[in-house]
Amino acid sequence: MTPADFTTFMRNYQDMVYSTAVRLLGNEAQAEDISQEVFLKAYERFDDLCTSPTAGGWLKTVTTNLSLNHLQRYRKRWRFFSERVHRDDEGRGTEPVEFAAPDGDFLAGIDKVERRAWLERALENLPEHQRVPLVLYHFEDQPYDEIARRLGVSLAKVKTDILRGRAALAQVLLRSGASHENFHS
Amino acid sequence: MDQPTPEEIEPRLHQALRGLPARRAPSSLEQRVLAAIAERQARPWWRQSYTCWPTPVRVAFFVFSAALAAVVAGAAATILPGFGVTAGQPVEATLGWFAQVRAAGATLVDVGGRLLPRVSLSWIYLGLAVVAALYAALFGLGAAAYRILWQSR
Repeated sequence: MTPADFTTFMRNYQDMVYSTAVRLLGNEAQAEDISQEVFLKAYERFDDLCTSPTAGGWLKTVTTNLSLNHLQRYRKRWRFFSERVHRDDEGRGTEPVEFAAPDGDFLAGIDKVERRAWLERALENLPEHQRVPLVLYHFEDQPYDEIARRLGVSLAKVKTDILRGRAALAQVLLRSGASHENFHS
Repeated sequence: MDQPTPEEIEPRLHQALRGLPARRAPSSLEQRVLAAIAERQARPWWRQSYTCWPTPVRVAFFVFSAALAAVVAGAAATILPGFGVTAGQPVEATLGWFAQVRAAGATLVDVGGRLLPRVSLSWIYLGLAVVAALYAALFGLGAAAYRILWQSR
């Protein structure tokens, strides 16, 4: 193993690792910290990983686990002080979360790249209890019961949170001009 | 305009989300990882994890730990009443300072036991209130530090 080998390995996977972490955590600095931790773990067993066809899957699993551990360890501990806004959100009905939107003229000309940026930002701005199960369901292909087990919440809560998260994201897509292409076609 | 139903939203949102390209990792990530690896490699062996220690040192450490555990078990046998009195006697003879520590502890407990009944209940409650207030203040400071130093990252 040479440092160059590991650098090449890291360049191949760093976007995937970072994307997984940042979508779960909703915070770029924390995602970078988690990504660093993932690659340090990968370095410890690089002799196995460098020739393994499942290296990508291993990295994704470790990233997901470390991100979830991070959320459980730090965010729950300080929820009372730092996330009262998100707790209040749990008591709402089924109405979608409102996101700030630019005016109509801007929306009329919004292109695909901008719409993706909107979607990423909307995902990042979702409350944690909606974003995490939604990311696990749509990006990690995990079933509802597995998500409930991993997050330590009820199946009904997972379904409700994902439903509300989808409604919020759909609202963003509708506002960003995707309605005719994606939701009313 | 009609709002789409949840059944309509799910597959199309899934498609939209899965169509998102990977987020580009910050350029600093690679340098951070390589620097952390270099820093780990530069550490002396005794600051690395046990699995990275040289084999002779690992063996010596294991033997030393086992010997220490045996001494602690022997010392416990001499201190705990009714536990291996006969077997503990040789250890007590070699570790005479244990008896002195034990005597000092007993004296402290005795003094505490004599003083406590003389302290009025209101002073005890006041002391407990001060401890609770200090604990709450420490908790509040921790929370404030978290919000200022960690959340703002």
